[in-house]
Amino acid sequence: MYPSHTQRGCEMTNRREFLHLGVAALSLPIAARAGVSSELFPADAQPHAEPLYKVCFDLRFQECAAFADEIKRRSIPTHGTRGDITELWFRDLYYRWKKAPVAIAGMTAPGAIFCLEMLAREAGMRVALRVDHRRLSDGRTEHEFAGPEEVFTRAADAEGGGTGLPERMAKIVAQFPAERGRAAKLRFSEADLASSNGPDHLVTWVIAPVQRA
Amino acid sequence: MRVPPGVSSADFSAALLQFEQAVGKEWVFTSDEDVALYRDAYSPFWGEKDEIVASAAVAPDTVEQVQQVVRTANRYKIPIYAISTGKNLGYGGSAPVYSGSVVLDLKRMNRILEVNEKNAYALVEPGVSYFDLYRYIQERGIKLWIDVPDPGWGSPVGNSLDRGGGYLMANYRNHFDAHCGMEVVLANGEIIRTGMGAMPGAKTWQEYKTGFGPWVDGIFSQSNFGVVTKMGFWLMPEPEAYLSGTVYLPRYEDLIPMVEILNYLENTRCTNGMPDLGSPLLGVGMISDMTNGFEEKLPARDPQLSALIAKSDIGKSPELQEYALRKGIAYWSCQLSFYGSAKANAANWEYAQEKFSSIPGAKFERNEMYKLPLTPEQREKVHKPQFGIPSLAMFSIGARTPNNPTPLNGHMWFSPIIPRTGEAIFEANRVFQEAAKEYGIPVLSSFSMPSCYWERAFIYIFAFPVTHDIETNQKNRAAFKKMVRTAAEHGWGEYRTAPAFQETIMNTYGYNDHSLLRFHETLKDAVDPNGILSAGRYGIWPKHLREAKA
Repeated sequence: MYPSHTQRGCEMTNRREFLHLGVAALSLPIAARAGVSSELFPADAQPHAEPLYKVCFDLRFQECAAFADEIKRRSIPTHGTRGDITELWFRDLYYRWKKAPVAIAGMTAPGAIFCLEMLAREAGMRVALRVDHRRLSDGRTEHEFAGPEEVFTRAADAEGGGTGLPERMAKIVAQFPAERGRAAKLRFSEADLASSNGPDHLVTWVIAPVQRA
Repeated sequence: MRVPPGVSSADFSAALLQFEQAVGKEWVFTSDEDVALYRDAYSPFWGEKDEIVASAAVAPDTVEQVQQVVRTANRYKIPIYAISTGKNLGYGGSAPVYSGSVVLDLKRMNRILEVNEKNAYALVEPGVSYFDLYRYIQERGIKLWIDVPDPGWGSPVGNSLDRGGGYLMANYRNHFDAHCGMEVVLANGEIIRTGMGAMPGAKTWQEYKTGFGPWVDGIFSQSNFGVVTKMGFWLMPEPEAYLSGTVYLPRYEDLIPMVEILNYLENTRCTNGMPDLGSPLLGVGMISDMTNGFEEKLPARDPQLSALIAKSDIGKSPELQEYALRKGIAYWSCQLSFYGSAKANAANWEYAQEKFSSIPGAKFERNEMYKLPLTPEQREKVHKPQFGIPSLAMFSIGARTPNNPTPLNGHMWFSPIIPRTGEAIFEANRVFQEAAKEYGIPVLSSFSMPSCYWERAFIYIFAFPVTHDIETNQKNRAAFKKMVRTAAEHGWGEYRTAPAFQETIMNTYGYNDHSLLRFHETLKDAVDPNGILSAGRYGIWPKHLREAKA
């Protein structure tokens, strides 16, 4: 019933099919994408970590659950969704962000980060780190990083780093620096460590208060 | 820093300074990082030089500040583009139509000025979102429902000015029809109030729509004649109960009487919720099924049925009909919903069954019956907008799930209005299927059912995908425009569209050498002679830009 991946880009669906089958939200580019560099820089000092109010994960996907386990092990509060972040925002983040902007993070499908990014903007926050994990047709997983340069060392360490992707991403998120340097971008792929029936596209992300020069 | 077209750097700098004086320096945005936030997240020009972008943004907090900004814009001839919450994704988002405009971001004007429970109305500013209004009502235990679109993070003012729709009773789900009274800042900075609001000290601004004399509210929707700074809305008193029931019909030709009976029942207010059409045989699901449709695997279709559908003439063939009758699978379904007292709902459902029983072989199924308000458990099961609850659940379908193996990257809506007849549904399917084939657009299903947001006409809402591939986007934009023209050739016009297609669509409304558009332009030139307000919105361009394009 479903066309091939290559056909999908020019297919017309009606709203019912859209609602039933879905679309992935397209995120605005974070500011980091302007003038980005793919160079890697060694971390010159261990920065202080950004305090995370909550870490969001998608209960539907094994990778996200493993990510959340690792986050919980670090005593950071988590919140599981089934893709819909309405309740998290409406009953929790809305009130918390009214008091003051405070960082959140997660490993979710793109739709969740898209919504949270839009809502967070109105609370004076921006996406500070975004790592898109896309499964490629050759069975590898591509990681596309956009975020502070100093995080990239850990990202590079993550390449073939032995432990699983969720654990590595949890470490990056938990140690995300409160004071951040220049933004940069990096892309690499590695052998697919995701579960065979996992999603095509997950995103690890951090939303943090805007840093003004 | 980008400068609006036709404006000198010196003038723009002077205007920005005056904007800062009006609204505060922190509410004027000129950095690339900040202005990038106003890009259309679903722009079909993604990565192309033609992408429409703002030059700056200014966010006033009060109507007086809006007046000051507008006056400054007039002084320096700065194009400004008003947005409320900027969430109409698929229809342009927060980006202007005229590239280089300064976005007039009204999100800070987010006051809920009044919610009157007894007379069931609200008066709000443009930055109020559906979530804000819902929260306000819930926190105060007010027994009123709001009619929300899907998703619900937009603004009642913005959505109704774009003439959006929702899911409750017909008189609420048409959001522009449900408004009552506006306050508008004109291009010269003057404020007007419409309807009864024109009378100083009026007691019925949100209770009687038209006031005295010409009723001008309509010219401020899908247009650029003013900046709406307040708007009243009629809200729905919380009903006692909700009931839904589905009618199933066995034969292809039953669609025609099905729609006729549906229209009668809706126009006589027997059924008062949004009807929901489907085809169990052809695999056209209903909107109300969507809440559990994201994750549960669709049942495998009988290969024989798939083969018959593939061989059919757009869902019609004697073999397919024979299969449906033999297997007892309905060709068509129509879900009716009822808001009201439990007794009245039951009686109306009984009457509806009586009417549909005139079609041989009609079957009926009673679905949910809820005493309202919903329990927390019930809330989790329902399509929330059908109960006046805003939600972002539709974004949860952006992941690969059994029902969504290949997620997309945004969309642009193609939304033609067709007559409310079964014949029109058949014709539209033929026309759109043939056009899609001709224009090289793969279509997902063999048959499409329209939606019933509007009570007197059907609407199809097709999603043309937006991708990160420039060539594909170019191809899709070209195909979109062809579909618009094809629809127009059959007498079907779109109700709303993204900026990329507004001019194309406005040109299809070309009766008598575009006399309506020329009237719009006459109005535009009269009320906004410098053409500063939202140039190009819905295909209405100010004189100097029309002349420049000529």
